[in-house]
Amino acid sequence: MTLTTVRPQLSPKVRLRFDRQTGRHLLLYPETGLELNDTATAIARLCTGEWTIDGMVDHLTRAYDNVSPDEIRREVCRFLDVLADRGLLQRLS
Amino acid sequence: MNWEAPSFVEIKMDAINSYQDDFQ
Repeated sequence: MTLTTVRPQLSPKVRLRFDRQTGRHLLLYPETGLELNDTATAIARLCTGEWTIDGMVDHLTRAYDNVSPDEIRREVCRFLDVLADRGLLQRLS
Repeated sequence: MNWEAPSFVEIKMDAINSYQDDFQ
């Protein structure tokens, strides 16, 4: 998922939930799930089909001040690729 | 906020199953 104009959206079978016991966010899908760290959660919350990857990078660059936009772009694309490989994303263009 | 590389831990559903209603 390297096209920065693509608008990633979580697949219909995927839910982002907050686990009050662990204080972590979970990406839940049938029979399994992913416990996300804070940065992964920030990215997953933007996967609404409304944000382009460029928009995500701009938004996250304003939220995090200890990292370059290029680094954020690399990490966002890498994380979205992992989600896409697991079938957890659909791409809107 | 401090940026850290996005990461996750894979978990298997266990009696988390309270969320199963979402998938009906």
